[in-house]
Amino acid sequence: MNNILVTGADRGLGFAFTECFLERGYTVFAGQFMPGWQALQELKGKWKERLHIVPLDISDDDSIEAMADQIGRETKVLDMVVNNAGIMRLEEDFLKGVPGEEIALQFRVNTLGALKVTEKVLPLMAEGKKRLCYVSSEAGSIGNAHRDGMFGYCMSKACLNMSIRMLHNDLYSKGFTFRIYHPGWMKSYMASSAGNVDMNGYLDPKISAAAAADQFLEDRDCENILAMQDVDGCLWSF
Amino acid sequence: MVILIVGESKIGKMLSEKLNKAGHRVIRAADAKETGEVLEREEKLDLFIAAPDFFAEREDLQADLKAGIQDGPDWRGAEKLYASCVVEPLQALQEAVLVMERGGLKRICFLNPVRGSPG
Repeated sequence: MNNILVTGADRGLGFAFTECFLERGYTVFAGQFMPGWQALQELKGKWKERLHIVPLDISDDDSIEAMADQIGRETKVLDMVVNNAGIMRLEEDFLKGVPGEEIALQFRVNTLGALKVTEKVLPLMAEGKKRLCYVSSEAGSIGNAHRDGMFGYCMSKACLNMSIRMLHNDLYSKGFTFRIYHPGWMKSYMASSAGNVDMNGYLDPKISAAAAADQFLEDRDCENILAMQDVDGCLWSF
Repeated sequence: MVILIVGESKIGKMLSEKLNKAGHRVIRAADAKETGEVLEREEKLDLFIAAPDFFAEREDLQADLKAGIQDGPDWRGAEKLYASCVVEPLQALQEAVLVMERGGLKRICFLNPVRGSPG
């Protein structure tokens, strides 16, 4: 195990993943959505050899294709993919209107984006560790659904969970193993409508990323069973 | 009962005929916009049924639904189906809820193929 792709690596959980894997000695291909955001560049100064910044907008097919091409030029083997990139839009009450465009956008990014990245990097993973990791959410769990709003986000994560089940059905017999991670409510930009870090979150992204990295990197006895786990390793219905 | 069936699937048409024969007043709407228009004329609505075209029978929805991840899935088709079969019925329901509040039954039904079951 050597090479890892992290999508949405600019900040928050994705950046914490990138830093965490670098500190543990891995080579990281960091999907960069926001070239103006300096954190990844600063990290590159510290990890010149093992950090590869790759432009990546997972809502854009050409960008995904270019990302896979770039990684293919830099390495023959990709061992693990951490599908972390995602968006969340806060919505008004259902009765005030169902924002179709916003719901479609979250599906395009959170569900199809992760699937399209998976599709394009699969050939690079053929000789590697073959581990596919997905940052999902309990918000996508039908069994545990308790919200009456945020349709777009919850639906996109439910679709993602279903997609992972289908990928597992297809690819497990071909040697691929899977991780689904519920990162918890973090102090990150994700849940903030004002473009600031949401300080109401109860988790530092570094702590969530470190816990996830352990789960992603360790092998399990029962890889045939799909499980969504949180920062404490607790299982969630998905 | 006043029943609204939203969507243009074959099963929606069949259901509409059956419920009509059973003596109910059935209103049909293709999408959310049409739902808003037809319900402007209604005083109440008892039953909302979403019957979207999950099997892509409509020409403009045709998609390859069978390809696996290594066969080049039809992502554009998936996006169209999601908009038409998932988002559109929700938007139609949002249009219908206020009229349903004046109905007696207040029942919401979604026709959904078993292939969508996570379990």
